[in-house]
Amino acid sequence: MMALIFWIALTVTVWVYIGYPLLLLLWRAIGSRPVNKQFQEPGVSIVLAMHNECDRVDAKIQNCFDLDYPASKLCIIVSLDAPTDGTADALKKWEERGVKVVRTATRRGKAAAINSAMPFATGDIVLFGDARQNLAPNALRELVANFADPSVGAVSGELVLLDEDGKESNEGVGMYWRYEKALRSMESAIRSVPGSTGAIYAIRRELFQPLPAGTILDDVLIPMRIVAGGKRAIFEPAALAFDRVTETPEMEYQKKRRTLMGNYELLVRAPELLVPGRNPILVQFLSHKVGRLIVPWCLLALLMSNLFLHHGFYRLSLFGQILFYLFAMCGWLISRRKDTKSELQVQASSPTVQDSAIAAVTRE
Amino acid sequence: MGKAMGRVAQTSYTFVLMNWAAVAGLFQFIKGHEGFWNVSSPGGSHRLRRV
Repeated sequence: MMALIFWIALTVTVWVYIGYPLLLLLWRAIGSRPVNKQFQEPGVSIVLAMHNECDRVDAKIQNCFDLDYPASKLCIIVSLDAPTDGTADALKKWEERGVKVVRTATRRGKAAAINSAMPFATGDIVLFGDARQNLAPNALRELVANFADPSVGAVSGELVLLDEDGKESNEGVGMYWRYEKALRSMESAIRSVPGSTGAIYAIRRELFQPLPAGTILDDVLIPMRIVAGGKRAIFEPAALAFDRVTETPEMEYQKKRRTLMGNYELLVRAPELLVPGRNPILVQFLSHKVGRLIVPWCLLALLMSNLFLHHGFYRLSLFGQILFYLFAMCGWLISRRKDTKSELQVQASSPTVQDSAIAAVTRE
Repeated sequence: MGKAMGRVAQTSYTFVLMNWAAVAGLFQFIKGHEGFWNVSSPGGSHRLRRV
């Protein structure tokens, strides 16, 4: 019995992190479906849902105006979810420049804020973004070019995490994120990506369906509905948004916990995504999204079952697992040391070097 | 050598933490989530919320 548990847990874990990426590599090699990308300039509505973003709103809107796209084809809509920090006041000067501000008196959440903004969107394409991340000047143009292909319903850009030197982060969280992007790129080449990057994604306006109140992952539910409707949701690596890499894995953990909680919620809200025939990218969805929810339990089962299995390969496997968790413990100690250092740096410098780096990159 | 070991340690730690996030996410989902918007990390506005 223990051997059976061990092998099931091992198979699932290896599949999610190694087998599935290898399948994608193979699949892409034999069944890649290129997008017919052509540069064009349809009307675009930029929807920004915000709560308390007083510190960032000016930079974000300016960034939208700085995009390399005809101003006459752009419509910026900011949907405010009952902010309490003066975000609404900060937006007054932008209203005079044509920014549409949608206000609600009570706090209803991001999904409701997006729903409130959509009736004001007039462009054929709607770009969604967060207040925090800046977009590269050509990002919108690169996204929109993909909609020349009628099979494309949603396009996600690429979020680049910069380290303190303003370079793309390669370690820890940065490496994890790069692995994610490699997966998305392969999934996109085959058919569709199960989800988008919240910082930068665009859809055809006609394909938007109002979000259920309280939806956490709008950037997964919106594209997955589009995929379920028969269109493709692709990844465009030339459309860049920039953000700072989290200083420590613990901060990434906070974000990840919320994202994964959103994945559980997604399964409850849209169980049809698990039904063969209803989800055209069922294998990708199960392997990429659902697999990530199952693997932690498999890791636990792997260790527990291995404690009862001592002969031959199992001895080696137990040794490997113990070594792995010892390394993880060392990583935790290194991270704690870094955390203390970064707290001191943050106290000593504001704004951070990373802020300047992001601003420099997005001005280029 | 030391740098490579440090990198392996950090990668292992990140992997474990990301997996633990799925467990914590399930408990948080069962408990009922804390709000509609992304939670700011402790320490102020200079830090990330969600990628």
